Amino acid sequence: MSAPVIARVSASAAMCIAAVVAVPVGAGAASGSCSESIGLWGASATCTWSYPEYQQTSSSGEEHTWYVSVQSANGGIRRDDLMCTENGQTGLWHDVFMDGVDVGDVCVPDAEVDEVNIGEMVIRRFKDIAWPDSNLVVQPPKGKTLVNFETNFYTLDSIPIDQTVTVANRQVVIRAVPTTYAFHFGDGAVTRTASPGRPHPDLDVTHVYERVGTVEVRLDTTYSGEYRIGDGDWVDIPDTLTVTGEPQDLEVVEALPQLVLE
Amino acid sequence: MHVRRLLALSLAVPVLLAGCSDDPEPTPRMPDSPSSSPTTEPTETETPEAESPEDFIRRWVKAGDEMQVTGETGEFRDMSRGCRACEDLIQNVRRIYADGGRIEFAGTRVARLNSVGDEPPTFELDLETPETRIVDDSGQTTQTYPSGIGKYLITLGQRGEDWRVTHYGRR
Repeated sequence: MSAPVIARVSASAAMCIAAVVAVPVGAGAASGSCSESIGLWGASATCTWSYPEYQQTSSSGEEHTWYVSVQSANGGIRRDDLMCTENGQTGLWHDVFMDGVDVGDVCVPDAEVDEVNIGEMVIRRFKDIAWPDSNLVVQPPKGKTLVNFETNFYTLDSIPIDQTVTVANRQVVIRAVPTTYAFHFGDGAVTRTASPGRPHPDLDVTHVYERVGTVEVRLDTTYSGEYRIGDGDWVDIPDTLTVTGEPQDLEVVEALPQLVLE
Repeated sequence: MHVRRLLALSLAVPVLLAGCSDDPEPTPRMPDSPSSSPTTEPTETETPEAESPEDFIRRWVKAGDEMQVTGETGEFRDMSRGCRACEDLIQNVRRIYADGGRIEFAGTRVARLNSVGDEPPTFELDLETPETRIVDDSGQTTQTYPSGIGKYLITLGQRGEDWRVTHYGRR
């Protein structure tokens, strides 16, 4: 039989775990081995999953996203109210979410209640949300430079960027830290560096064009990430993402010496 | 038959059949009336026995049954502080009665109550539940839940000397 689909919104909680995994298709996928709902007693209660049952269901197939979140209600529920036991192991009651919908409760053993797996969710959010590209500055300015001349490239967008998101009912701050810049000079040459470059006269990232013409330059930024849940410690995200910069035209021209009479 | 009489009868029947049941309901304790005061004064103060988790759960079930047929939620809520499913049940009952409706059923019977864990106290509870009807303010039955045995997992918590249900869910 199918479990009732009851959506609940939980407020912030003392702790939380989340696992992003998938299960096979089927209406019964979320049912666990829950008994039939009998009377108003049954209609008001959600399905109780055993922890192995949850693990098995949530870790097979590719159709659904699963996570569990410690139960809470407006921050007013104490840890004592959430304690549970299963097969001699103590734990905390968690809600089971399938595709974001609360489909039951599970007693997550204390040993499993940690914040490690929330990283899986955060990585997804880290890659899903929009991060800014870096504004590329070229010197000399106004879209023109000289052939056989050290053209300077840099960006001032080098500070970490924070975004606050909600993951598994928790407020999570995700921080993107620019770590690698890829300067595309438009003539096939690329410089990858941890430096954002520097403005003239402290030249750092430069390129000498050997031919005249118009090239398309751009700066791609690779961010590493870290996050923290609530006021917790910062945790590294073991992945990076690259934001492609906006291309801009650069005209490479030849300078001819010319005497000017004063 | 009036719902409350149905419930009262249902609560009495298990007492009568206590010798036939594997898991009989406890005899409801009624407060002593003034006329039934003891003829002799006790010589020493007796410490009341702490209620066992099992007895508490039976009392909780009874309070939940009574809540459903009376619409009075106070006692059940007091016994269920911190239990979200209990709050859902309370809200369901309150909604029905707030709309002028009522719940008709003859009360449940604890068919099985089995401890499955100590810390915190956890029990498997089977509730034999008769047909339950939701009746609106015009007397029309708007919903009928069939009879059967509901299977639940109950977790208890303790505040001071008092037990309370912290979680219940279908198993």
